[in-house]
Amino acid sequence: MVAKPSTPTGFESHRRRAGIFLVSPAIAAMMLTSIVPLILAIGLSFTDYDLFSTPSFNGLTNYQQLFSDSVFWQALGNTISFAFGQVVIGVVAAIGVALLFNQNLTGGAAMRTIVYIPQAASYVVVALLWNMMLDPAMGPFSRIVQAFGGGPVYFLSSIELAMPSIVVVSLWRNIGYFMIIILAALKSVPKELLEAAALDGAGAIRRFFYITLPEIRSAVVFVAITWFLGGLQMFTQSYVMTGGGPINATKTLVYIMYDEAFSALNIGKASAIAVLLFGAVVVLSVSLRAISYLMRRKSQ
Amino acid sequence: MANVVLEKIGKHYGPVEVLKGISIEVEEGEFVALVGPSGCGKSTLLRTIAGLEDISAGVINIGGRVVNDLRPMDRDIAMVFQNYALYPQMSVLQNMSFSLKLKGVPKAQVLERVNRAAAILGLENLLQRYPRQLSGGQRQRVAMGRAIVRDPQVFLFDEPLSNLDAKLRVQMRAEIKELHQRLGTTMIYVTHDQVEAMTMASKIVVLRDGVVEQIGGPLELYDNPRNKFVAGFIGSPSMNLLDGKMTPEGFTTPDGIVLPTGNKNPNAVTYGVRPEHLTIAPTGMPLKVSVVEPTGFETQIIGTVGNQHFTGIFRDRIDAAPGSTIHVSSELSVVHLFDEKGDSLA
Amino acid sequence: MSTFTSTPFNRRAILKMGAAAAAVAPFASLSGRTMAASGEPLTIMLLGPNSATVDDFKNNLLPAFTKESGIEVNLQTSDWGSGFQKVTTAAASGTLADIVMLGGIWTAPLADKGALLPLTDYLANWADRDSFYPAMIADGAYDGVDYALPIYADTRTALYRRDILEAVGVSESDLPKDWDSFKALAKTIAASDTSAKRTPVFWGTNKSIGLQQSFAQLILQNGGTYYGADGSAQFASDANVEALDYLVSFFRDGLSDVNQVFSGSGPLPVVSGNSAMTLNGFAEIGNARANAPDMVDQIIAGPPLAAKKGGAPVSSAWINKLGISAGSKNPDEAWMLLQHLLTKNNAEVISKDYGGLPGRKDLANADYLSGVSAGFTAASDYIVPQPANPNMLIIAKEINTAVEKAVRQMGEPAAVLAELDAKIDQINGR
Repeated sequence: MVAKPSTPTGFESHRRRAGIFLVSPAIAAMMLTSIVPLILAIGLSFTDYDLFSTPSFNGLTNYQQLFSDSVFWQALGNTISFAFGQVVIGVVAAIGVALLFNQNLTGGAAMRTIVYIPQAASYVVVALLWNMMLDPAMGPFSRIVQAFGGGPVYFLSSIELAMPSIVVVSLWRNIGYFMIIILAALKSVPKELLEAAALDGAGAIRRFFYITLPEIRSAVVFVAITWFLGGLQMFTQSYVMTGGGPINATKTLVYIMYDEAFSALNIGKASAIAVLLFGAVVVLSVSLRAISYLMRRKSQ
Repeated sequence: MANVVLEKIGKHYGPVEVLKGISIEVEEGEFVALVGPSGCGKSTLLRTIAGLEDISAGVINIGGRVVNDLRPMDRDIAMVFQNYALYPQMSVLQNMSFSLKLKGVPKAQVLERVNRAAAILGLENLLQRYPRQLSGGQRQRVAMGRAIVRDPQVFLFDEPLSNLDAKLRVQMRAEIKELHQRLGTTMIYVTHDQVEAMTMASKIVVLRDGVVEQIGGPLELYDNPRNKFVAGFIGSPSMNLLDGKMTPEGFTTPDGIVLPTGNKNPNAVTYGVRPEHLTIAPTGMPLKVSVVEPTGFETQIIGTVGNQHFTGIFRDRIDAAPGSTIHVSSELSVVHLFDEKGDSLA
Repeated sequence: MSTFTSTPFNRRAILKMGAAAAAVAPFASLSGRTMAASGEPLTIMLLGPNSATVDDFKNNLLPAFTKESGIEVNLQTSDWGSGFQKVTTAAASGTLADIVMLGGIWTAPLADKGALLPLTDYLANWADRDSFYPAMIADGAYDGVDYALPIYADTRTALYRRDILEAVGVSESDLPKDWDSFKALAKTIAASDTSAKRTPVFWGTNKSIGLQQSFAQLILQNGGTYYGADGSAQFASDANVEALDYLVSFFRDGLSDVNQVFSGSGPLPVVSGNSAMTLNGFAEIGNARANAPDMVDQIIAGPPLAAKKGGAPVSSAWINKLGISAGSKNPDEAWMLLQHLLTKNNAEVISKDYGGLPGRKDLANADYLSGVSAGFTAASDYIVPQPANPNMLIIAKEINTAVEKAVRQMGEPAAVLAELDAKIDQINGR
């Protein structure tokens, strides 16, 4: 005989029911805003649908068309290089700035606010502002280069500079938020650890790599993943600053998704892009989780 | 091994002075305890020796070398922190070998030194563990191991036992003392627990408000406290201190109770006697009993003399009911008198 | 106290009024079109209106209509950027405004989806039809059916900076009439020491489809077409390759700069004087008014260009129109409003507010056009409409990208256009 698991007591089952009752609005909201649209998108990605007529099943046609479209691959490359570029530079910069603010310098609080403020502005506002800043004729950056004898710099109309410029603008917009997260992690690094390391003979750089970085690792990983996944959805900056150009150089997956949906009225294909993007995000987050799980297991 | 000489160490945070000209000499191989109530500056003083805090004035001299401007790592000292400060992502082995690794000591030599330290502390089986997998006492040992491996000139301990439970604390106390005897290295030990200081140190520095109140051996401080503060701080339970004034009959409390003294110094305003120096004597002062605490080995009686708080400890088993009055007295030689400023009139 | 006593009275009164209204309602529908039979207000959706346009609609045009007809009208607006998205999604969900504004190449995409009401029956009895430029009416048609009527046009011809031309010794009567003379003038300016010498010609490159719009004009001037008789894309035809070669030669010869991209705000290059020649419309004047009012007089519209000397001059036009939603519950009333907005007086107000050229021929000499280069209105007579295609919005972007590739010397014009043909055929499902 196998012992039966004990049945929940009256109090416990009450608590369970209350719990279900309390989370049900949240579940309903999530179903409505996330799950249902996701299922719809997956379904529509196998159809030919123009918003007006009834969707008609067309199998993998949308996917086949995407995979054979060089612009799709270019947009995928652009999206990844944007997200990757922003994260790599951004995480290093955010840690650097956070380390600076962690020194409790005078005026630190004011500076922190200044670094954080762009976060409060919408991407559209940020993009419009930087459109002016990066203007080849009137913008300050180009003017500085010209003052030193260079020619005008075409930040947004040069194929080579357009995406890096958008990366920098996005960094400027986002760094404050992620810097604050890392700063909070830095503040929670036990002071004694750093002192012990200092006594053990570690200078500032080795203290950072041996003590600080491992201590803030989970915050850094969180920042990197969130930032990267956010980067995969980049659209507004390209839409406002470059219109996806020059020659598709700043077209992202979301951008071609928007074009397919609202210029070409090709909802099926747009859904297929959305599904692929979602799939990429899922694969990335799951594998990152797996890696960090394995790393944690290894260190235990 | 080295001696440590502190000359007129001053330290202030803005307008707040936390160390006010502290001078201490620590002999080579000596075990010195810095003791005092919280906020007295003992930890700050230790941290200035380690180089973790700058000093505003004075000279710190370790092994004949002025170290004021040396970085912590260059002072050749090791420190054990209150919360151990073990590197959480490193194993015990890595924790203990970290300093040697940074110095570039060859691997074989590192292992040899770590193993030797581990053997001293009984950590041989824990080398592959991580700090979070250790008990409090084990962590404490690893922290000491990390210090031993470096073979420093001076060990600094910052309240290393305060995170342990009472029983473990007693055990570790003995272990540290044994370690000192074995290594013979100079140790400076900060604690707020005077029992720890008394049992472990060969020399005790009593600090209050950033000032040295008294320096001396444990018994010297016990027997001859320089002032009322040291008298009250050293010894457990604390010395009984009764207010009053000197009259021709002897020291007289405001309630008119006369206490016999050998010294008739007219400046005396406080009468001190340790609880353990009292005996039951029918002609002694009246102690009105409020609490009786028998521990088997001794009996502690808490009550009042006149209107003033008073405690006695007796080897005998005393059968006194709360509310009753017993009479106690002590030898004149163990009575302390203090003047208006709190200085001893011995 | 007064509320206490009056409440029952009011309730009774309301009940009585409701009963009376119910009794009267059936007769209302019999009493003719001047009454608001449905009782429902109309809605109209405008795209990219400036504040003057909104003010005129809200305070003059719509109230006048309501006063005359008894029909309330609600005004909706959207920017151009998200306009097509808003119109299509609203049409698909059956919430499109009764009257909707359409951009230059929108007729086919929307008509093809059945979002627009055919105006055939209404137009049959409409006396005003002949007052409009025929090419502009044609721009509102798809597959031989009329769907929309022009409210203003962005007619594009060759524009010049008078002061810069004068500086190089070219007078207003010697303006280029064909490609060769246009390019020769550009070279003259490049050889001058005027502010426009580095980039004499601006081809409209922007973050949208500006380059395509210039290229479209060149194609039409060279007698090129977009599609063959069977509907397949024909951008790689000789005429079109020649047109692109001509365009690319300006960039190759240092007469234009690929990096000169209009960001959407600030002065256009011809307004700022960085360029002296461009193919644009009346919007250039609007840009000058906003950014450099002194320059309004300096911008002159030349004759539309012909590809060859003595050839047929062609101007292109981006004609903004009003159509009626296929889902409108009150199409008859919507048509009344449409007629109202297109009367000579009202059409003048709208095209003036929008800063466009009138769609009506009888407004060619309208007051607001006085003092503006006559060439702008003259060009209206040479308009060749863009070919209608349901996928034109996405195709226009592809054309723009292809032209950009060519002018950046990233591909030979013939190869770029052949690639474009394949892409467009795929979009058109061929």
